Amino acid sequence: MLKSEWFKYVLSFLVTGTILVLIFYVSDLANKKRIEEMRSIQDNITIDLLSSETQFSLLNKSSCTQDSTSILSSEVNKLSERLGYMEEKFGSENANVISLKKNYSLLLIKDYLLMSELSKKCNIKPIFIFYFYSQDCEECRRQNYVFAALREKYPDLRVYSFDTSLDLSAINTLLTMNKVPKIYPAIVVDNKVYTGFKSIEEVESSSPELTKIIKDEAAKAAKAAAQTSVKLVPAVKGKEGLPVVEPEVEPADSATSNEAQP
Amino acid sequence: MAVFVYNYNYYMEVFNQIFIYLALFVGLYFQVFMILTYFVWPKKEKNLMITDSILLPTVSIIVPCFNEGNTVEKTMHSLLALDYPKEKLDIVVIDDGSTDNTWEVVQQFKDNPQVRLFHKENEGSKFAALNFALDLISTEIVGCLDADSSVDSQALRHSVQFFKNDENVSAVIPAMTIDNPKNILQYMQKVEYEMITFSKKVFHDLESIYVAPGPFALFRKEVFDTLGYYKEAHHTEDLEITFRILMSGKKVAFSSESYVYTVAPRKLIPLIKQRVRWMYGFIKNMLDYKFLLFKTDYKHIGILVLPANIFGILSVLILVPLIAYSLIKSIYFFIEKTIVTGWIPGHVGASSWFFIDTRPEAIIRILTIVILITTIFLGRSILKKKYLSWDILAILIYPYISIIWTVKAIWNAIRSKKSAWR
Repeated sequence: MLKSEWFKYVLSFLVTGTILVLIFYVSDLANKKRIEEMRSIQDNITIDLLSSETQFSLLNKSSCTQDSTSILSSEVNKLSERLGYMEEKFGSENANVISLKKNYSLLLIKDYLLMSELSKKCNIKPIFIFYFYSQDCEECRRQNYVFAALREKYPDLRVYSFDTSLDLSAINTLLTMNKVPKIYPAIVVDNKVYTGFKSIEEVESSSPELTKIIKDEAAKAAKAAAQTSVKLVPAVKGKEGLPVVEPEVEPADSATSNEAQP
Repeated sequence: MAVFVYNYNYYMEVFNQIFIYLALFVGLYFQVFMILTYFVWPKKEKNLMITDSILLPTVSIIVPCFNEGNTVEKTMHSLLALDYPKEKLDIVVIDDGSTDNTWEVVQQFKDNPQVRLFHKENEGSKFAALNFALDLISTEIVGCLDADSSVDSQALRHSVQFFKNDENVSAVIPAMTIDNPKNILQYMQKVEYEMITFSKKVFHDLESIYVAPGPFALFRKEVFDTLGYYKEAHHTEDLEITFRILMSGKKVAFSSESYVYTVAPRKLIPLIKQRVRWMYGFIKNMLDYKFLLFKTDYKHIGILVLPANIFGILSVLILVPLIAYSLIKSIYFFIEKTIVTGWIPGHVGASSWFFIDTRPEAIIRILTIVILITTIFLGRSILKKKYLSWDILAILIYPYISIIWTVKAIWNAIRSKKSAWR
């Protein structure tokens, strides 16, 4: 009686199998695309770093006015956001995540080195924060939120975050150089070491330089807001005696070069 | 030694993953089978409504009541309003020892030639009232309508055609819906019944309906004469009699145009009690009739429907805690983040395809919801109701409530087995 209906069972099996295979295939494909995108961002960063280095070596002091590293920090932020997502969804044990993180950490260190050179030669004081965390530390999760928020708030602020659980020798060297105790989360600002959880306000007030940058950024943001609300500013009287309307445009680099001055 | 421990952990992980995906495959398989049945191989039926009154069978409807003075009047009026030759329809009211005004309320019908009123002492279970009535009935067809339910006037006409069209049909079940839902719990049950309607239609197409639930299920009287009357059957006599019908080689049909409206429990505790009773009854009867499982003699019941039901119960047991755990975890993380960073609406992370969760678990979750909504829509289409309405959202609380009665029913079943041994 049921023998005539066996085809129903087989067909259902085939349909179910197909659906599941498709799901795994799509998921795998998306993953491959993700890793591709991150590697391409990393490549961009490497190229930018190399180009800055080369330019710097070629032009010596005159490369002080040019600032390609602000582009770099937005690329780095993009990468760190995506890395954070990958780590959250695929776990920190995932081989791809680990390899990307190691690459990312090394790029950060290169950027730091380049910036140190630049600041020495151009006589500017660099502002950056080292943030060391590890996998098994409870407070680090909350600290991660703080820095994610800070990165969004101040896109030009350099936060170098390092996962000490990666056990990368370059990171370990950094730890020793800055005399950081093995207590995480650990922050190095202005050559001072702080351990334990620091809220957004505490980080912002942790160094006078940082506070100044934040004030500058706030002023810049306020100015930009004022600009957009008063779009047209009558500048000079034209030939016919009518006021010539000239919108004021703020050149983009002058704001960033302001930061570099003490 | 360390190597051994490492390998063990690894194999546990692998085993876990395989187990999860196997369970997902099985669950998806049942859904696919049902949806394919509905769309690809539905039963083609010649719907012959009997127009000649002479050919209509004689019918008796039993109305067992226990303390249902509030609702029995509506039940009675709906029965008397049935579009059916009055001389062929008997209504037998059994007041099963009510302590409220039920008996007084039904007196208003005593002079109606279709109605017979009886009062008996309560014996602790509905099946006794039903058997009491069966002795008094000699019509071709007999059915039961609980005193908290009412019928559509055309329901009887639609149901009896299935008896005439196929002599192997020994029972016919109607399409049940919730009468006047008012709170979220009742809406949840309403949507649940719409999903059940879909499965009844599918099981009908597979000739594999395994239960004829109380409200307005109709039987050939000869079923009781040949197979015996209702048994106690752990307070779910409707399931047990259906198992006996199946064993005798007969089947149950679903009349999708016979509408029955039943009142859903309004508060949580009565709902849990009701569902524990049903599920406990299913578990115990399944144990009594476990020889039905995996046999091909009962169409798809043994090899598909019953195993699917058991699988469903087990997966609720495992899945719901997992879902609840991950839900609580993500709420906790969200609150933690907001405390640290303040409220940041529209986080930048949403701005790229990169951040769409494409892990298999996430896609399967979406697929499950799609299947769920499809089931609800198809149920509504069978009931001739409109597809879209806000009450669909009420089904979201269903897993968290069904886990309560599932656990309680299984617990009760285990305890009763222990006490049976003493």
